[in-house]
Amino acid sequence: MAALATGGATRRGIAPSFRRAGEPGLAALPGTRPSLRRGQLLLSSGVPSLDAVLGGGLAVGTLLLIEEDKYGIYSNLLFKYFLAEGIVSGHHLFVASAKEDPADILKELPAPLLDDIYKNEVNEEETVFKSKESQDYMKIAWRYQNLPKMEASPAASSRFGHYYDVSKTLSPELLQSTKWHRFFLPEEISLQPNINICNMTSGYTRLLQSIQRIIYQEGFDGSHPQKKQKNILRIGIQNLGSVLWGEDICCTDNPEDIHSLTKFLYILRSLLRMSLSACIITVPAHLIQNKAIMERVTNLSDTVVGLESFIGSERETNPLYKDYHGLIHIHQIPQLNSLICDVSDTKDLAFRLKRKLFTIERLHLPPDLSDTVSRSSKQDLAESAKLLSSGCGAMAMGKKHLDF
Amino acid sequence: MLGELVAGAAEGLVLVEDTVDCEGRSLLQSFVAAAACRGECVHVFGFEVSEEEFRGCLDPRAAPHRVQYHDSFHDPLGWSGVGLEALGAQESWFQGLRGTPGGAVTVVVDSLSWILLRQPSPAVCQALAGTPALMPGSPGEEVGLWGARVQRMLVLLHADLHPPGLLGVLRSLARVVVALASTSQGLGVGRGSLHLASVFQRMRAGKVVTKKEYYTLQPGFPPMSVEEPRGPMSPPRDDDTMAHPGTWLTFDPRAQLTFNPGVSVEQRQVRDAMPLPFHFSPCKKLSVLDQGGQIYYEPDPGDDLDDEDPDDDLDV
Amino acid sequence: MFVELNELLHASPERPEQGTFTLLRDTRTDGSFLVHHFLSFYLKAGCKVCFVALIQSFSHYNVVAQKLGVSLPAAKERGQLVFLEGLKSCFEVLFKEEPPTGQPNPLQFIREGGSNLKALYEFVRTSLTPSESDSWKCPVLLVDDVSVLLSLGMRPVDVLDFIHYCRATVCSQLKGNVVVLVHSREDSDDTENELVVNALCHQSNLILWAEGLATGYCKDIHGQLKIIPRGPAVLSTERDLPRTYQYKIQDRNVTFFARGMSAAVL
Repeated sequence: MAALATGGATRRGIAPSFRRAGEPGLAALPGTRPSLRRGQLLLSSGVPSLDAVLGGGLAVGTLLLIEEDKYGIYSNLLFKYFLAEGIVSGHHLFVASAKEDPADILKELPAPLLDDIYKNEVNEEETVFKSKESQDYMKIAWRYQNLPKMEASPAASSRFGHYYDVSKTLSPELLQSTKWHRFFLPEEISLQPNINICNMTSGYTRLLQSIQRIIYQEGFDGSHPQKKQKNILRIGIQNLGSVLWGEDICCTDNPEDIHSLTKFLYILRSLLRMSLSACIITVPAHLIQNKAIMERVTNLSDTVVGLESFIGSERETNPLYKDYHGLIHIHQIPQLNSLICDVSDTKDLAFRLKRKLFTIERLHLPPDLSDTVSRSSKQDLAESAKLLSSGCGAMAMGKKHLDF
Repeated sequence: MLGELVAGAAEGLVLVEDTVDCEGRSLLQSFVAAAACRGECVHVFGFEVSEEEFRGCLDPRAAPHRVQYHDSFHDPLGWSGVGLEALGAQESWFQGLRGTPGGAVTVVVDSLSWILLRQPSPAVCQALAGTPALMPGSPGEEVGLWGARVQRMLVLLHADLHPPGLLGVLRSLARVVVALASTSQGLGVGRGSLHLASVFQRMRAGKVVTKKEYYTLQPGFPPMSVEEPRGPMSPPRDDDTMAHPGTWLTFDPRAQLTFNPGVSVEQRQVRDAMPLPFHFSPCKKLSVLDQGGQIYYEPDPGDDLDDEDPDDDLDV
Repeated sequence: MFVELNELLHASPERPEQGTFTLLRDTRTDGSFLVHHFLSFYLKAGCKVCFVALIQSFSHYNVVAQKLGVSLPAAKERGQLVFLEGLKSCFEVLFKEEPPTGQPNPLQFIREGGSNLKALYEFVRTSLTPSESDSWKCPVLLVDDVSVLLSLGMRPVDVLDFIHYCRATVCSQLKGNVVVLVHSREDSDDTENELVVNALCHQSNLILWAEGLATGYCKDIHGQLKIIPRGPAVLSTERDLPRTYQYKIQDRNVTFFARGMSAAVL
């Protein structure tokens, strides 16, 4: 993790002055930064620690798929972070849902912790953070030295990636200054008669047409000269594939049309690739009965992240996980414009929701400080620690087999 | 066994099942070469490889003019508008057989999997069973349908593409099934390529023969059986041993019983050393007889002791 | 093009093989580096290439090809490369008015839910049929990746028919090569995809199978590559036995080494 953190820091140091010869002007887009190695624009997912895990951020024109946790709490949070980051960066938003009114979703976005406030807030969180100028190594607890959120210290991330306070909502003024578009399935159905091209669920067809219209009208596709300053469109689609979208893949193992969702994703991918946009989708993967669909969905998405919350699971009571609220599984990181992808060293990641902050950390054991811990439970912890220890064995398919 | 089949022992529907690990076309081609050498007419319906490729691997001595290749490879569905008509009617498979000079005919389908993936399987099975030579009870019958006699029908099947149920159905239709599998790596290296064939043959009298054997293929030669699998590599199945009386000697038939009728040498020694309870051994005899007999009696408290002479009253 | 892979496959751009159908298969890892290899290999070899790129955009392939020393736009201009960008064609099919004249879009089936991939095959055939003025060595078809066609609603048989016709035309008639990428997983629930993968394995002359390590992710060894030649058994030699190597992908190259011989663990 140390290597990852320093790598990220040096890259950020170079980034503001770096500009690709081929795409002048793009680097000047607000809330983005160019990727040195891959020749593409990155934007933040709204969670700096997630950006770090995903190799610096999300590339423009790609799709981030979140596999929802069982109760949809944390996936919804990531969804909102993504949108809030767009508002703070001045991007355009497109919010689609079949369940909640998009206006209500926007009202509940978390408030950003701007640079000066951030320091105070973080101090409240009882973790000692110092800005780079006044770094005092003696005071920094060793435990926090190499955490990914450290590398994205507030001084460096004033333009890229922000922290949010989940206990407060975004100010209405900020919301009003943002240009956003809505897609609320129930009201769309009442607006238009039934339409169906290419044998998809009609909700998907409408959504695609709606996205395409906005991309075209607002000039997010590079093919038409934009009238004003170029900008990014952030698309958020909530709870895709659920029953409310008119899908039956969650209800039955053998749905009527198993290709609806994959077709939708392919066409969405083509829309995204040709425009200045990025998309986040949450999918109730645990409800989808036919697992073949999820395999195909993964192949058609760029970044795939799974959330596994501890709520209601036996892990909630496991002392090993007492510091965390759930595990995060990075299923796929795209290899864009490159042979390799930026994979972090470890795949054992967990997330926690503190009073105000949502962070993703490397899973580690809590320090065993209590004297009363019995010998047997210590051994249990040690056993679990062995399973977690090396980055190599993390995703092992078979425990006995060793490749080298 | 495989050699005999290739040499002409196989009649009726012959199924050659292969998998991704072990391709069966080479074996099919040695069947074809052997049939052509015997002077039979061979009709190959090729769906998966071109004629060139098929003939390229054929034994050059195998009278190529007797092998007639019906090209269904280049345009099986009629997309290009040339070549064979679309594969709609089942009868069209055997259209090409018309006008064949009389005599034994071998029909080869390469491969049946291609057809099964695209046609409803009951129709395909009916077509297979409908070939005259496959009628039960009439294997060698002279059928004048096309002026020729379909002696055998060789069918290549990719076993890993079909559900087990369909495989079972096809096996039940076939007279001979040759299922191929790759050998474990240790055998393959240094000995050429060895393959494992499980042969199943329905004899005319109703007998069924099954056998497993390793074979190699050399260019220009019929497949050569090397040896039969033994030992831990593939434990003999019941039907294997039943089918080959000769193998009774080599396999211990008592190995699979639920009880143990035999005893080992040590067990036998221990058993022999054990004296039987009724056995009157010399030492037992000694202890009983040579000490002289004496009777001791200790009276019980409840005994009715009477010093009187019990026969006292007789002296009247 | 990765020199080490060429050596392992006994291939060289001076003498590209003809008439082979190569199946690229990946399991628990991304095998697209093999696609990039074959794209640059055949362009350097002077073959006429038709690239059906269904999953990524042109710019992605272009940037990677530049790293491997090939310029795709230049190859397009020379007429050496015909690039079908699936994502773009899909957009045009759905959101653009049909051009009144000209070819039907090869991805027309997305809109109509059509029953076969004949239009896509026609596109491949017309792209690769040599004209008199061409002086390219042999035609090559690359597809990345076939699994997408299933996601777009095609039946497995449709996909197999498409590949069959491509093979009959490109490999057999035009004496060219076909290279196709598929995803697969042993424990997959996607039976349709597994059927396509197995059937294509049966038809292939060479299988390159990239697998993620069974023991999980490792930053020095990205996976292992199985090279499985599938010639007729009669002609097979020692050289044609299946082999397995481990590999590490670098920025512009891929290094291969025997199992357990990674520089990082020695």
